[in-house]
Amino acid sequence: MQPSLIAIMPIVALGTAVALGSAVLEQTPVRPHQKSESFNLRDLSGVWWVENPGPEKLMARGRQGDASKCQTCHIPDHTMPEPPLTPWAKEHLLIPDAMSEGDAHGALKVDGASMGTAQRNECDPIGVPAQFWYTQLAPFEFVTTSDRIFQFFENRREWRAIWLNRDHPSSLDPTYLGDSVGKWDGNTLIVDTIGYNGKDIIEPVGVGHLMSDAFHLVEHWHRLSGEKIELDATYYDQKVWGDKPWGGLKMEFMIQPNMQIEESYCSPEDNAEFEERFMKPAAQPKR
Amino acid sequence: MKPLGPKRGILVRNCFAGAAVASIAALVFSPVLHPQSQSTAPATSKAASSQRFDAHDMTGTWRGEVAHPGYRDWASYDQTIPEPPLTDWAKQHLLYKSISHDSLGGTPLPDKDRPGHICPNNQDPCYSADPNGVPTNDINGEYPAKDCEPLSTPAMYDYASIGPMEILLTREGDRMFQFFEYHREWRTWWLNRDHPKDLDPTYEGDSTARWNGNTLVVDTIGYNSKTMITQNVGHSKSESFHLVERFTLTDHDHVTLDMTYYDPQAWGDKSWPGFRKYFQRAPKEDFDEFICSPREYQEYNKRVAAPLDGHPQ
Repeated sequence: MQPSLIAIMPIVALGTAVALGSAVLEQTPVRPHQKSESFNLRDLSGVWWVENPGPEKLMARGRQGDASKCQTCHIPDHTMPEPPLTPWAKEHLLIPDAMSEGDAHGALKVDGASMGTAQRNECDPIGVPAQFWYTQLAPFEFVTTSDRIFQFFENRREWRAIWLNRDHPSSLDPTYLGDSVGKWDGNTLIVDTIGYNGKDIIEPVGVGHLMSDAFHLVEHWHRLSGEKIELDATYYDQKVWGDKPWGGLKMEFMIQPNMQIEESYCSPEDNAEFEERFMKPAAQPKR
Repeated sequence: MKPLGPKRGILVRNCFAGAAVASIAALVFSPVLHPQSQSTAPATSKAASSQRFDAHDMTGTWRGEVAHPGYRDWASYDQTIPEPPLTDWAKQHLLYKSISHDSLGGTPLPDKDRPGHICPNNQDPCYSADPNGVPTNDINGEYPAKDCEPLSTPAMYDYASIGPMEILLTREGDRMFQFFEYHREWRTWWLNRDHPKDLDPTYEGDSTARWNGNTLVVDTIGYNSKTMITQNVGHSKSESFHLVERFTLTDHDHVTLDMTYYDPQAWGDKSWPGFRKYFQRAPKEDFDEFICSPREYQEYNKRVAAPLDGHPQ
């Protein structure tokens, strides 16, 4: 067990499981999913989760997160390497606590500890796309209404609205979640998000810098079957990568017909209690 | 502009916890949102809407109605019914050391300018302790979401006029969602089921909703005991806290909310009725992102609130 790695786990309950080791994980009841009999290709409603949930994949990414292996630490979910950072991004967006060791940019330490201490210990918002990585730990739900598709993330109880019948407003106040609009292109929902405030991380493990306020996320959601949807996302950020996009984020999610999103707030008070009760004892050397 | 004194400092800090520093700084000086200003604002009473409406369609964006005649819509100061006596168990387990806001009764503060106490304004009573002896108006006392913790209901309604709420009905008709701009909290009201038998206590609890005539009755149990009932009460909920909300659309543009609180562990078989809120319809575009970020909140306290209230954080 690497206590530092647990810092990337925002959910106390899941963090508890990690702290107590795999034996506990094996006892954690699995919420089953069942086959749905019919589906509409343009209906994404429902609770979705990765096929093999659990912290192992994120932990594996963390273990690979050193300088020499950073190019592979996005595999298997992010299939393309990150474009080179602009000098401006290197100067302004690197996460200070993450700079003690080098990564592909020669400046970043990319293990979970760096991200945990720099950004995530204080229950700060996560936003998208970083929330997609946490779907490895907790599901999300799409709820469709006449003018919006809502996406509820169990992790930290964050939610966003994807507006279906309008474009981005001409003037946007920068926010953590940005402004998301969705359009159907055939049977693919294309979600376009701009208007970020530049305070979000991009991915929780493996990317040691923040996004800028020019970050632009384009998601393609495609229903593959009654049970499965696919996400194919591309990041743009002129200030960070110039005119080079960073594509290749591909994820698949399975429908969970019998599941409901549970309450999983990030509470500083709960975190402090968790730290006291579990993390400190876990960090003690074994006799 | 007249400098803000300590009274304003704590109120502003508490009310706008977590917003971006720049935004908060702007709000600090906004007379519209400040309770002191609310009470002196011209009473622009809203005329009843003559627009046709479906009494069972509660969907829309709603904001606390500041200008309702004879009504303040700030925290729980409109409550006139006293709290039921606390059980011995509650006195032992639920009381806070102190709260930062005023209480709804208790020990009057003889000198409103007494150092260390922050009375909200001259139009409200000012107490040094609530009816259970919990010190009030203490700058270091408890208030909802003090460290960006969830507020939950009913405390969320203390701030109904700060940010709007939106109520939505799902396409399937099985749930309604209630979104609060303030701290971006949300709840689900289940329309076609009862409370599950085994509930894990949570911040928001489990809510079911039923129509009783033209009133939507939302019933919530399963709370954890980590949140305040309102900023004006010096103890937390217990896990047996039970909230009953009655929403009634009085015309196309206005909703009245009546609430009754139950908590057998705190009040035995006595309930605490009489909490009322008035809402008026607001444009959908009014709903902004208002996330409580601990990092920004700490920054705000350091840069803005502490200098204003004169207390180091």
